[in-house]
Amino acid sequence: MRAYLLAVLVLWGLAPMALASHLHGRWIETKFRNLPTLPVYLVLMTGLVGLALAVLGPRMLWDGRWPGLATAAPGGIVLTEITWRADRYLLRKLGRRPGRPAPNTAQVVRQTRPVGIAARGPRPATAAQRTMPTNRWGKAERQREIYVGLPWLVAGAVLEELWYRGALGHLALSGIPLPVGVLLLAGTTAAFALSHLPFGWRQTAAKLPLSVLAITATLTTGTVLTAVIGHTLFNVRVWHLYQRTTAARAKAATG
Amino acid sequence: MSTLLEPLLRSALALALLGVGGRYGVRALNVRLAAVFGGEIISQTATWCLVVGLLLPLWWPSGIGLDSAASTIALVPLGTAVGAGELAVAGLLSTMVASVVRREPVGSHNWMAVVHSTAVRPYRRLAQSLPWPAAAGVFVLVGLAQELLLRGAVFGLARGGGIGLAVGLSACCSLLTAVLPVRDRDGRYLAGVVGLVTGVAHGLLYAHTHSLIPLAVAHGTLLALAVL
Repeated sequence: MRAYLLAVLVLWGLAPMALASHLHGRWIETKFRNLPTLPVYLVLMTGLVGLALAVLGPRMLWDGRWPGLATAAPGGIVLTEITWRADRYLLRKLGRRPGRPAPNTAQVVRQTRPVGIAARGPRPATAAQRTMPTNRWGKAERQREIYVGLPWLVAGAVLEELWYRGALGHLALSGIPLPVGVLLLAGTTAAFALSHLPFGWRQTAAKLPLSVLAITATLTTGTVLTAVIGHTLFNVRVWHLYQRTTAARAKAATG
Repeated sequence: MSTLLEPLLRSALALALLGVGGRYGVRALNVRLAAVFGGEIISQTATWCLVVGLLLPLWWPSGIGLDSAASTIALVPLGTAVGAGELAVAGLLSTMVASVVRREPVGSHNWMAVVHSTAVRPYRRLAQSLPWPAAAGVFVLVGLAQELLLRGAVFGLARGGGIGLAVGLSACCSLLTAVLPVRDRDGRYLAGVVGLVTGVAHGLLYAHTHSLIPLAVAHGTLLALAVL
């Protein structure tokens, strides 16, 4: 039973965005057209954190040492400063290079009206469309997920830290052989960055410094609070940046 | 060292036979069986039952992992959750593989590429022609057939070699059985991702629980979520 619970935690935890996106695109979005993926992702992450707390216990969040808690706030601010600069630097450096343009994300399917004997049966294209998931993460979906309210981004930061650094970090360092633990720790660090893959490889690479420094801060201080504060402040900066960008675009459009 | 030699040799021989047999024999056999049975999934399952069944009768384990009813029933809901998790991990990895292999940026054309690939095409066709509960039932049966061979029989084959060898061999066999029936290069990469993820995860779980039914449910859930 415990092996299965741990397998569920690891498998769901390594790709929660992929699962949320698939469930959202296939079943939820068909009923609620304008609902972003983020709420589904946050519900999934809340369930995962709850399950992890039940299986691993509250020690996954804090190892009981007080000095770590005392340094959490200043540590979080330093973490934000470093990771924000690294993120901006990487995004600038990995900017779109000249090369093959991105293919058109909306694939045009040309259909002809069946006539004669072909018109009597069910149309195969209709049956195929019924069972195919909707296309995901084109430009429209990305825009919809980026411009969300600040509370969503803060909730995302807190839940992601509780999950990636708290639950998976604790799991990697306790109760399993060291080589497997090191692999899981590396996998967790990569998985956090890869949860930004829907926004492209650049964003994924740019989130690696945040992932590495957050796990380092958690291991050093013994609590996820430093990483929670750092990631929350990082997301607040992201929100401010998008607000400024939106305002500038609106001003440019209206003259 | 000498105790490891026999299971290692057995595993290497089985993998070589599976590889060579799969490369040259299985596709031809599959085409003939598809003509007789009229369905790709049935013919694929029958082919692999035949191929692996021919290889493994001498090494069949003493128990095939059908545990007591109580423990199995308790693990079935968790098996469903494992299947969903495997789809998520395989989907994410398939997005990365498709983006790298096709040299395209990530977008809606390659997001969860395995769901749109030829690797799951037979299952999608089946799902289109059956009501969804019947299709889900068939997927669990397909999962049970594969788990009996790829976990039950393969773990018997690697007995005496430790958990590492058994899980490794199980993952390799899963990879081969996933990749070999697929004809196009793109589909083979994506099928390989699914084979590897399910092979490693199911191998580790079987090594700890020795129960096949929840793994069959996990396999069925993965297919159902991918194509229904």
